[in-house]
Amino acid sequence: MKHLLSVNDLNEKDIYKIFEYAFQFEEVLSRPIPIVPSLKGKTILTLFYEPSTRTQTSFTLACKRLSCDVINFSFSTSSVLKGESLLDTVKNVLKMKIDGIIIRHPVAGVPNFLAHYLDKENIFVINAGDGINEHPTQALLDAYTLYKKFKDFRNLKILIIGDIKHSRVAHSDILIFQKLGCEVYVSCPYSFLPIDFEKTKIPYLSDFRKELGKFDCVITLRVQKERHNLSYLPSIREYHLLYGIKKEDLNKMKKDALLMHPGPVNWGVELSYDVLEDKRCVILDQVFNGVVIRMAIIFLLFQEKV
Amino acid sequence: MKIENLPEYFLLKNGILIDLDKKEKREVDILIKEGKIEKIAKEIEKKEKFKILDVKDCYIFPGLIDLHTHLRIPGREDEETIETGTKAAIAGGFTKICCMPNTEPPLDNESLITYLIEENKKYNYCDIYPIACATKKREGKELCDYYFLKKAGAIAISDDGSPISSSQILRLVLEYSKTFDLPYFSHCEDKELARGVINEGFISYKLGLRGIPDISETIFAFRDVLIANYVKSKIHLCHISSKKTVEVLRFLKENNYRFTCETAPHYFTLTENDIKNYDTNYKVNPPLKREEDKEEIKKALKEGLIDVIASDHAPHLLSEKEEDFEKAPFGIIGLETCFLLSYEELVLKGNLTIFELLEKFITNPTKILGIEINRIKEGNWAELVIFSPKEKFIYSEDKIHSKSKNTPFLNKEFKSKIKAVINNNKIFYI
Repeated sequence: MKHLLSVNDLNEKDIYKIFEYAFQFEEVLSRPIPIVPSLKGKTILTLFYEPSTRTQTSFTLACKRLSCDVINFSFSTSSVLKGESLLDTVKNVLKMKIDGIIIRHPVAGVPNFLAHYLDKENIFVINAGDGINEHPTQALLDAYTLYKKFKDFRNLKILIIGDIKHSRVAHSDILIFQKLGCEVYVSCPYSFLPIDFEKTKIPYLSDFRKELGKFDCVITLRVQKERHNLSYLPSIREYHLLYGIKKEDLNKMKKDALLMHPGPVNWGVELSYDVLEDKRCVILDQVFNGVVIRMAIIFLLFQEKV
Repeated sequence: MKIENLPEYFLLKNGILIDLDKKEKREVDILIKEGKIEKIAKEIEKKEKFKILDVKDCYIFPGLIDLHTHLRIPGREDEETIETGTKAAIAGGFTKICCMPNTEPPLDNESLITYLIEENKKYNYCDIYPIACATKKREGKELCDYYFLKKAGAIAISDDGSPISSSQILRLVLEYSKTFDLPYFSHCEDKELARGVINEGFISYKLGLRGIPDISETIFAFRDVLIANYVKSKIHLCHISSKKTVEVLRFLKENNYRFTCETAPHYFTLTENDIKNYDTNYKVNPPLKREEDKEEIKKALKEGLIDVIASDHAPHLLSEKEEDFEKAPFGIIGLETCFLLSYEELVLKGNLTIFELLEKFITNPTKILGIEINRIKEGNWAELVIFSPKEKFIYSEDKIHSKSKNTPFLNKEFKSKIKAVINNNKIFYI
């Protein structure tokens, strides 16, 4: 693993290795001074071409816990607004003596573009979300959350509800869960389902509530109002009624099932607020797991460099 | 129209039952007890408590279904009310009608769907299946809440009369409606192109009226079927009227595209040549076409390419219709003449058999709506039409049950007649 651009860059062994390191870093975070000097003197640049709070914070924190210097470069303050091209950015980065880049971009493939140029300079690239394509660290943290609970992925049944078509989280989640041997199901209005989705052989459930009792994990996706200007949905009211997870839905789920969401939640849309108090709702655990997973990824990418 | 509650025992004597499944005619007596079919037999012995109606030489078949009625409710109760509209439906042999959402306000929320269904219960002559708007206010911009609409009783969605011009919005409409298995009824018309009042051609030139190119229908029919098939959603094309559209649809059908379509009787009984003296009772949308179009529609009906005959019943006030040809609204009433015209033009002239005709009025509409035919079978509720194929009937003004009288068929002498309809434990003598 030289970069982390896609879940497809990882094999099962890589994934478990990341989990193993993440687990060890959990211990680090429990210390009074939660920091290790592993990456002292190294520098990472985060390039966020899309607004983000938690992912950027999570990466920044992961770097700092490893004593790695981190410079945040975000859309609103950057020279992108002044018209700098992607290639110019690359050339600048090369002169800055950076070790790795974490990038989020609204267009699919931009992390690959950067990796193509930075590869020979021995600078790694982590995809923190590219358009509607992928979000591999989110997939890893989702899988890790599940791993901590069940230890074994085989025969786990996972339901993903929401905008399958425009969600990079769904795309990466499906890839990772299939790789790990889970059975993945989806449910959404057809306007949220990619064309030819049946070719993935992933079952589409028109009425998931009838089968809620069989899932070990339900992942609800954020309705990404900012990602499309067209009305894929007529109303929040109808979406919440049909696809929102409410307390009565949790009652139908297994006692040890997990309810996840990549955040930030639109309360009253994907989830009703009363699910937050249920111990199966692990949205905040996901945030914690996000930090250790990202620590593991960064740490391992540096190991790979040497 | 005389409406009576059925007596406890009601015996139809000497009828000819049209069996849609076996495609055969059988002479039968039918005994109805408390609104339900008690017995069907070659001969049922009369008993004193039976009220008897001799229906010798009459065809008996299930109630017809109209996929395309403009009921005008809510908003234009001056043109039609639930009472007059459903009476007109019954007079035409229809026991189920689908009403279009181009009302004021349009049927774009569930409260209006509920209102229609609840109001109809006051009369309960025939069933109303509302077709809800595909987009809010029929503006072609934002989708409606199809789940709530369907739950309230909507059977399909359409922006009838205001076709969705944006292909992207149409795609979303079709994808989202697929989630709820609601068919989309498409009024095929490229409004940008169709800026006229009658068919464009020599006649429009002669009359000096602005013409509508026939291809404005064809273009949208083709586009809409392609989009629906791309997202694998259900589409039904309304009132197909032109030869070119039929040719394109034939091509699509041969290439396994899925769709259903309807025409209306005026497209196989009238042509643009009938527009005399600027009579606005010939102003319909899509406009009347040429002789060759009329023949092609009949051919397509025979082939089975056109699945359904619908009325496109469009009541308008005399004061609106009695206007210049530009100002007068499009549309004619049709519920009462729809079946009679079809029978005369298609069955009596040997184009279709009575069984084929009833497929267009019963079997195919129910398939499109995803409902069951209420067959004439022992144990079922009696919902049937008593039709006399030989009795003359003059459609004079006093025979019109619709609140509006805008029809080009006024005073037409028909060779057959709908004598009576039985539905909802009532008998309607027409």
